[in-house]
Amino acid sequence: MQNPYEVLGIKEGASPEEIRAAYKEQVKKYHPDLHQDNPLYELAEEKLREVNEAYDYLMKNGGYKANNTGYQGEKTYSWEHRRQSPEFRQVRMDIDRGDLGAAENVLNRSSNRGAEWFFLSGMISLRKGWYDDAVTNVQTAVSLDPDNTEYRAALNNMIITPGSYRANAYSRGYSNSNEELCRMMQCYCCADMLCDCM
Amino acid sequence: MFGYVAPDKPELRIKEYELYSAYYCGICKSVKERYGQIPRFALNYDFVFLALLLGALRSPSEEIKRERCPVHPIRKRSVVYNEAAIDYAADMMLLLTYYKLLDDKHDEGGLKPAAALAVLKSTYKKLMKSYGEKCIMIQKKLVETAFIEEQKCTSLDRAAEPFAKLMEEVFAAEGICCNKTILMQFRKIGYHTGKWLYLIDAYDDLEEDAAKGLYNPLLLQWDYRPAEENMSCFRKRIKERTRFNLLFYLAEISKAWDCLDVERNRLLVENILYSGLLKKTEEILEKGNTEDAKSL
Repeated sequence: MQNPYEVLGIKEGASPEEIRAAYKEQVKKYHPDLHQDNPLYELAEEKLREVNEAYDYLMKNGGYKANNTGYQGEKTYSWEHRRQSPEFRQVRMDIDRGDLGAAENVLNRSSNRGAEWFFLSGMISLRKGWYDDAVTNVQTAVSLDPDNTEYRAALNNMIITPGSYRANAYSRGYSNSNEELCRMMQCYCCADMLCDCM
Repeated sequence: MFGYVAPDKPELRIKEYELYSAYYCGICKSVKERYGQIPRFALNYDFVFLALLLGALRSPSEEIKRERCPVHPIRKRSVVYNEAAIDYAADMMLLLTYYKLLDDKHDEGGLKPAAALAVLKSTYKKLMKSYGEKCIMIQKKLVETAFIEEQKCTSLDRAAEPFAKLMEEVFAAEGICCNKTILMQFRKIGYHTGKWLYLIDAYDDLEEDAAKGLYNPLLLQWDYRPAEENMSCFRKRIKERTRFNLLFYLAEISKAWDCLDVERNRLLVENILYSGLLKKTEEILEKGNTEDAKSL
């Protein structure tokens, strides 16, 4: 299983209160109601299941040790250094330094256009703010190498971004429901503005 | 391209609504005081957002006066005065209006844009003096946009880039704030607001652009073939991806806003960020579907 602390986004050894608070926050983020009629529905459902498992595990066993069997110990935001060609290692270093131009140059010159090439192209696009390109490229990387956890994690991170914005809106009390009431209120506002003019 | 960024009025409290109106009227008065009556036709909501963001940074120096104006002759209105953020937003609004008119004149010709340009000419000269460098940057980006249209660029991200960079430049108000990290967040907000505006405008104009044969990156990127599918099928095909992109931009804008961590104007700005823009996004995305619903 995944490290439950990471799933909930908290430090190892967090207190039960912290765990509960993080759990509530995550549930809000992935709540199926937020993702209805939307392609993220299944992903959100899966995430919610992971969150539930992680919470149950921590609560039942009173904690979790990172060197438990089955846990791979990756960090989400550091590169995975395996099976890397030197030119791609250079690209990763350029991206880390924020030198996207140099990273792009190396990629453009490269003839090795496998999964990692698409993944790194996607990471450059992401940094530039070209999210449409980023998703396309990382999706290609995942389809070329479906077992690669790094590519998958990057894709998931992008895909949940709009949902987390929606959840933020929701938690501030803005929701899509009450459509009728809103329409009514808009009429009220228009009428009110007319009165203001007179 | 303008006028999409507005608050969700029913969700505003009365005092925030008053403040929003006071900023809006403040921009209008600022234009009148510095450039005369005529350029006031350029007034639009998007720049109230910019004024609110910049206004949030400042210590309370502004004064709010209640007064009448020719548009609302009876009831007195609140107006924000002496606020550098408002003057800056007003200037940027006039600058972009001028460039938009130039573009309209070039695209469509006709008397209207030409006349409006003639009227704005002297205002533009003044602006050139105060914001020489910014004007040059903006012009550069506009040339790039024109080039991309000519090339019939097939990538949304590539096509939106010059306009997004232009908005980044507009939001980076060096004259108002000299803290680099804060300006960085403003650049982020500007860039993503530009991307959001560009995409929502492109999606909104699909029918018109397809009918008139105008450039629209969405038609090219997603390979619209009028012989094989009608526009409402095409809309349906690209809707989810468009929603993903639009909400991604909004997520980035709100992240940058959170980094600023300011209290002034917060509820008003967040109303725009989390409700005004979100509802506008949904409204435009669902627009093509209303006809389907009626026919059922």
